[in-house]
Amino acid sequence: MNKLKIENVSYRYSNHYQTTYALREVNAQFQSGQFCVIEGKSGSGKTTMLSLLAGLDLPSEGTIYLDEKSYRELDRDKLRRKQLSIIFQNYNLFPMLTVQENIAYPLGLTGRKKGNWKERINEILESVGLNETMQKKFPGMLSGGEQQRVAIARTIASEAPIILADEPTGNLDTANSGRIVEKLKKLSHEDGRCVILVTHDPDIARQADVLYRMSDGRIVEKKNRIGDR
Amino acid sequence: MYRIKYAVRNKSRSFLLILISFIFISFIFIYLDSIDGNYRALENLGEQIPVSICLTDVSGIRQQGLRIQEKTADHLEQLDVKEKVLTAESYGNVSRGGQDKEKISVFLTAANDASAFLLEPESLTVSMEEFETMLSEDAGVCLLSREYAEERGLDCQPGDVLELNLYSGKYDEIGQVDGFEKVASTQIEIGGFFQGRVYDSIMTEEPNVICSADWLRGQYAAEGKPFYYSSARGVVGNPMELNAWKEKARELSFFPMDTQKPEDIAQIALSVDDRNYIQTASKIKKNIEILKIFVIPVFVLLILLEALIFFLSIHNQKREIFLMRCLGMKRFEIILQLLLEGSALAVIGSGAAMAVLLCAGYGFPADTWLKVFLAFMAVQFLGSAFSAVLVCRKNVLYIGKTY
Ligand SMILES: Nc1ncnc2c1ncn2[C@@H]1O[C@H](COP(=O)(O)OP(=O)(O)O)[C@@H](O)[C@H]1O
Ligand SMILES: [Mg+2]
Repeated sequence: MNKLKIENVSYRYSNHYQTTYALREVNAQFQSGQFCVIEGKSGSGKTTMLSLLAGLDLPSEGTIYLDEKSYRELDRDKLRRKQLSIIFQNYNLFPMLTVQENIAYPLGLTGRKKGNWKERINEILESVGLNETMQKKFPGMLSGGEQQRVAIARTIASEAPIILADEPTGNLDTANSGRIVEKLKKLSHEDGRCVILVTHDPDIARQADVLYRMSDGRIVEKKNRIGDR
Repeated sequence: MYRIKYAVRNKSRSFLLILISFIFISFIFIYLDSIDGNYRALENLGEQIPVSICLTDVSGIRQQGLRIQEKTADHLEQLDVKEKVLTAESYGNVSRGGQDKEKISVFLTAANDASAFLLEPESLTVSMEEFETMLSEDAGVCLLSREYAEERGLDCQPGDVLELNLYSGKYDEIGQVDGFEKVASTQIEIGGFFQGRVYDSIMTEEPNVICSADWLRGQYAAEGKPFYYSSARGVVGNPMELNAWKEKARELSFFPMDTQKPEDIAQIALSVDDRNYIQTASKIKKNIEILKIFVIPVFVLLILLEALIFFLSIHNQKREIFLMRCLGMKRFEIILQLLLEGSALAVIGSGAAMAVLLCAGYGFPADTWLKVFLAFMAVQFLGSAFSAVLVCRKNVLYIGKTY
């Protein structure tokens, strides 16, 4: 059972000229098996929140807990290696590695690259709607939709219980976008992973089990569809 | 490992880093070699432009027919002089026709080196080598002028021994010969004949006999009579030390500081023909100076450039670095990878450069190769380490926000 909890988190970017509050006293909670969506306009602090969840930095104030353990005390590199998998809007893949190598990358990091890993990658590729011939291609040869599916394949291969996706469909047409959201939804509902997806697209937001609406660094609305169902 | 695949596939970047290492290493060595080359040129300059010296009269003009005291000539020994040529002259007579014992006068010239004469090998009945040894050894062997022998009816063969009475000239106050004084009765063997003129410059007389200067001096010494050389010249042994050499010569009072002083070696001056040498040497020295002045700025510039290129190369990989961190790689693992990669490429590039330079015949001592290589590696390592630490911020979010 995985539970991610954000408690009174604020975050500010500061440089020489000014300090910007990107998050202000945010509270949220995410669980395994849930398809969670954070919706908000551009600049509302979604990426910042996801980055903090990924442990890329610590909150300026407040705490994030994974199963009651504070991020401050966790080895956040290990956390990302073992527990988290991140998908961005673009540039998810190493351009100089083949599709197969990209997908196998997390396996290499966690020492799970053994046995019939190639076959498994094949299966995963198929499950995201890509065929075997993709394996030896480089990301540059793929379309945006294919690249995002490879990124999802990597996420699946990593077996991370928490998936963080920052506008993964932002650059895609509706057909491709729908397919990817569908796959992510499946990962939460069927595989029991915790999927946290960031978007500004209300159509995607509508499909969420748990929806947080953000504005100006604050959570302005929380909808819980599981409760409604 | 993926990193190796990455470097291999990212051909343009890897090639650039290898090329940069190649160019820098080549440049450094070519630069060092040009300094070396100038030094070598300076060292060899003495052979191309010898600094010749000779003893002259006080006016600095007359070079032959001098009266150079033995001790003055011996002073030359204390100076580093190569290819020294000393000549001397003496008068005498020899007996003609066996029993008759009619004496005919003879003019001898002596030298320690064959280059004192202008004789073609064809004009000698002995080989040039034999002539050389004849002069350099203290042997009582001589060459006789064929014309002289025929003119004076001296009927003799190589191997014959001449009965020789040696005379030295008596000089008046102004240095002119005024009568003769007997020095010694001795014997000299005829080693062979020569023909034609002997000297290239003005001589008091055409010599009839050529013999070893050491031998001649020995004859005078045996009788306790003063001996004079008539010319002395040579080449400064190590022109790199020309100033010290001149200082020494001055100490030995070779330069006529006081031309009023009539006696002694002050009457003989040392003239040093160093104008061409100094001109060329100063040009080369200037080259070396300029190269040396620029050594530090040029190398600092190279170092900065190298560090900059490694920085840019690492900076260019920010996106990959961010991705690696997102996938859970540790900061130090990434830094280590970047350093290993950079060093490997630098080793390949500089190794190739050194191999090419070696094949092109650049000869440096092993420790110079090693020093330059290690310095280069150290700079590239520090440059990459600095860049890697700078780019791989602790704050991963920051890396992601700035690519
Ligand atoms: N590196 C940064 N420095 C300063 N301000 C930043 C930086 N990144 C983001 N911000 C600010 O933080 C706020 C939230 O940004 P972000 O989380 O990227 O929003 P979103 O992903 O919702 O578009 C914005 O107002 C943005 O201007
Ligand atoms: Mg964003």
